Amino acid sequence: MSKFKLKISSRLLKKKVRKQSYSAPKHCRFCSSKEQLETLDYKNIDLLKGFMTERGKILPSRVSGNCYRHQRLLSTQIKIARSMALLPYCSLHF
Amino acid sequence: MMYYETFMLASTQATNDEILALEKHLDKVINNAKGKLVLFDKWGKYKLAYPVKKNVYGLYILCRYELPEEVIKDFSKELSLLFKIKYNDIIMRHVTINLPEAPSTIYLKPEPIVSRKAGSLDSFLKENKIEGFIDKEKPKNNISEQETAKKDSDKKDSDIEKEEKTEEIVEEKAEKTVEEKN
Repeated sequence: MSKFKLKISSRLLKKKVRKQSYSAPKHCRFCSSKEQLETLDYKNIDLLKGFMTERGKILPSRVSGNCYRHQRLLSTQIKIARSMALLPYCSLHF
Repeated sequence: MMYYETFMLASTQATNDEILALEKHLDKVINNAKGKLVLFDKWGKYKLAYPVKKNVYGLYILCRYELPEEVIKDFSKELSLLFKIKYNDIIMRHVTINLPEAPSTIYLKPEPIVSRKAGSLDSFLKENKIEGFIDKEKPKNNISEQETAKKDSDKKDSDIEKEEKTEEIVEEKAEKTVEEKN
């Protein structure tokens, strides 16, 4: 049995895989439709809960795909809702 | 003209008369500042995300109004003093926000506790198909079982009769063969 040899180094192979693998392009939900932007409000809890983790942290734009401007708008709305006890600061309060 | 809305969190101990008095007071304050109150809405009972001043439940109140541009600085100071001193027992928290457009009476709000359906336990179990805890009171099934039992008994009788007939036939044939041989 002859040993199998890689013709490319492992570092280059990883790079090649990374280039070829397809990931869907991110898009901001509020940039695409004006109807969505109008619903962005501190009273609309169901929408805001979608941008939070189970424990009550705000999701980063790296995950949610929002643009810079709308991420600021969204985070301020969540903070107002938190101060009015509509949303939790942290999910567990002992 | 500028458009604003204030959102208030009241304790559940506040009576309807006290809230009506608050509405009248707010209306008077806004009219003195040459403004106009558009909306005053009481939402209902809600469960809070965390206890505020040792209260687990709370009432939410929303009001929208118009004001001239220069007045807002003095008005906001007056409003905060009013909530802190006169309505200290009723209102726990409040926030004022600048609206971009003219205030409308339509807006989104979460469902209060009262309007949510309180289903019974049996219906919940049936919906989720949990059979272990449901009471075994099924008269229809009992009737069907009795009927099946009757049918079984009838079948058994008929089978026995058939077997007897076959035995008789066999015996007759055997007799006939014996007679022919003789």
